[in-house]
Amino acid sequence: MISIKKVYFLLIVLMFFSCMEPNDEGLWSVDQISVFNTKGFCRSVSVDENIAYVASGQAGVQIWNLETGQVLHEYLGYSQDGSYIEFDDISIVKRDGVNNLIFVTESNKKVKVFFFDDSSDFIYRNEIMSDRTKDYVSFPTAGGGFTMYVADNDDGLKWGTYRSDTTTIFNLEIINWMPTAGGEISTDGKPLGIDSNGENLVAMAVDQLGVEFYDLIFNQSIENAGGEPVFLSRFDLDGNAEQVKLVDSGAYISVDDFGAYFIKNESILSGEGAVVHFAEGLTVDHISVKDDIAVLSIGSKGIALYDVSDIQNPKAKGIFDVGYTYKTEFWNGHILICTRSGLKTAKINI
Amino acid sequence: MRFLIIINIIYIFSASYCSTPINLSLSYQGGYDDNVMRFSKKEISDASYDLKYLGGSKTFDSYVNKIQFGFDKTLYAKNKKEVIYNSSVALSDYVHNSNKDYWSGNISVKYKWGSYRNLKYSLRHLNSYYLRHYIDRDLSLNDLKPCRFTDNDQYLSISNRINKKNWYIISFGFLQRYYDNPFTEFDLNIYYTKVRINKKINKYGTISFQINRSVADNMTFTKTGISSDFDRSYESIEWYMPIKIKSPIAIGENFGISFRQELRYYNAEAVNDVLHAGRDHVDNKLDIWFNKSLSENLDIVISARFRSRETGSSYSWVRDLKSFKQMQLWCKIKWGFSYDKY
Repeated sequence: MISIKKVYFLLIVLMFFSCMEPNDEGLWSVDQISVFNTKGFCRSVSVDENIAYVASGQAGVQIWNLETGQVLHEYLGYSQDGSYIEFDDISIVKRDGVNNLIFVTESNKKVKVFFFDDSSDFIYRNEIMSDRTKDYVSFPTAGGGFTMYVADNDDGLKWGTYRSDTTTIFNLEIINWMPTAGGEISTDGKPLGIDSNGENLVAMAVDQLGVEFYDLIFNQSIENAGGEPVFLSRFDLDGNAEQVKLVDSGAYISVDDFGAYFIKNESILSGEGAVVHFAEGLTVDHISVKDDIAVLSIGSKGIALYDVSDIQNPKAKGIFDVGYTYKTEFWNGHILICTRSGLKTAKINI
Repeated sequence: MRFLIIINIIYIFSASYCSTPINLSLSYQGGYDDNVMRFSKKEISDASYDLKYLGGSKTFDSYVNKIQFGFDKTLYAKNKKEVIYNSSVALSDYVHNSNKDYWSGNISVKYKWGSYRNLKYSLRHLNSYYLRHYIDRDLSLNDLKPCRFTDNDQYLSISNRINKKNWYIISFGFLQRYYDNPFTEFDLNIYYTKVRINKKINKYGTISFQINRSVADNMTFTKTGISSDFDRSYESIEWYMPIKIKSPIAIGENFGISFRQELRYYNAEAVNDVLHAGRDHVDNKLDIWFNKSLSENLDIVISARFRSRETGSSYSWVRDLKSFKQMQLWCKIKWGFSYDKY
């Protein structure tokens, strides 16, 4: 005969063990740290140490100290030949700290070169490249100049190595950045985005025609310090390729309405092989990658995070509504998010 | 898994002790569900030109096969006092919608000390019950994923006599409704109380009236991804009235009819959450059934359920989206037998 105490014991055991644990989706989270009010749309950012050079749309060029959250300088326009010219709508700002330069581009315009050093002077030098410049990367060269690769929407891939040229007219010192080498490779596509590792590879997103890769060939001359691009391979992708990001293992491509692609180095070199397609269905405008984390900028929906530790099988880790997002950049363990409501800093919790 | 382990431990425990017989039952239930995924009229219309909403199914309705195995045993009996253990496991197969297949089971232990006097603990498990395909807003803007949940429902009830023909049952329960990945933002802890009064009418049958009060806490509110920013917590009150009548004609032994009405109010008030904010619904269920013993060990039960849910919201599209009608027809054949090794 069973003891009633055993039944009570059984009841207690049942109640104790019968609760269940919720499932864990394994999502990451994003903590917003701060918002820098850029007034205009924050379209892009270029970071040099703890200083952010911001393209803030119709609010011009802004320079922020990311540590203190203070705006150091705001430039709504510039002086040229004695007259003041207001910026229209800044889309790209890039910093060349070695040559004390800031490159500024308004939508579909040429690249303006400005001198900027610690004295806070913001001095217009000259314009380089041509109209309909969509994106560019530049690298300082050993001879005190820089080499720039440009995604030119109507001409193709443009590049040039520039050096500073000083002339004196009527005791007026005029400094211009003049090309010493350069060229242009036309493409059937409509270039929208470009990236380069500065060593041996240039990648260019060419809208409906996908993505193109170019080898950099060096011939030891100072004029060709940055290397001359030579066509290597092309991958036709679904959708409109907008931006490309080169990493050590390959290239990530942002594709409007069709998500994102990854192409590994072996495929880039051979021009064939399978591509990895992920984030299908998202409208991806830009991708930044660091430490197996891919941050996809998806416009009005904010950002989407992916774990790319196994790049053959990227894992979605969440969509986060951080405002209309154009681009992101990793900085000092945080991400900088360029949004319509300003430049935001955030931390990804894995 | 833990549930099965508990069942097995109890089975071994109970079968090894006591000299009472083991009562077993095996039943087959065939049925028809005319709206498996609880689609509203609008959704039925939308799905007809975008089949992805059907989650791979080709029809809105389905034939259903269900097999149930039951087991009960008196663990302890002395004078009028008894401890009765009961468990059952059921497998459901939706012929025209394989997403909906699931298993469920329950165990209960009842301490009884007289007619209508008992203390009962019950644990019910519903495993990966499919609702339909939804968009997982945490990871995608348009990809549909199957949405399933698992229930773990425990309650403690006490039943006591008021007089010779009337008795009451009071229950306190805790239902964990946790969703499978990737829909954990819907996870709920539901605390409920039930009060039921039963009246036995000589020669005619029984009539009962029950009130349920529930408070559901959306435990993952703001704790997972972007979709958890909406609060799915709610409060509800439900009344239920079953009437069981002894049949005056030979075709059946018992007729039954019951009506159940749930009024649910969502707590959400966020202006950006139009789907939940200020939403409520009235869920009506009318059940009718009759049963007949075909032989000493064989019973047949035929039943039908008519369900309608009317959703209230300030937004007409929410009302149209969340209101639905459903009909189910069932026929159950149950074979009961005993095993007594003594």
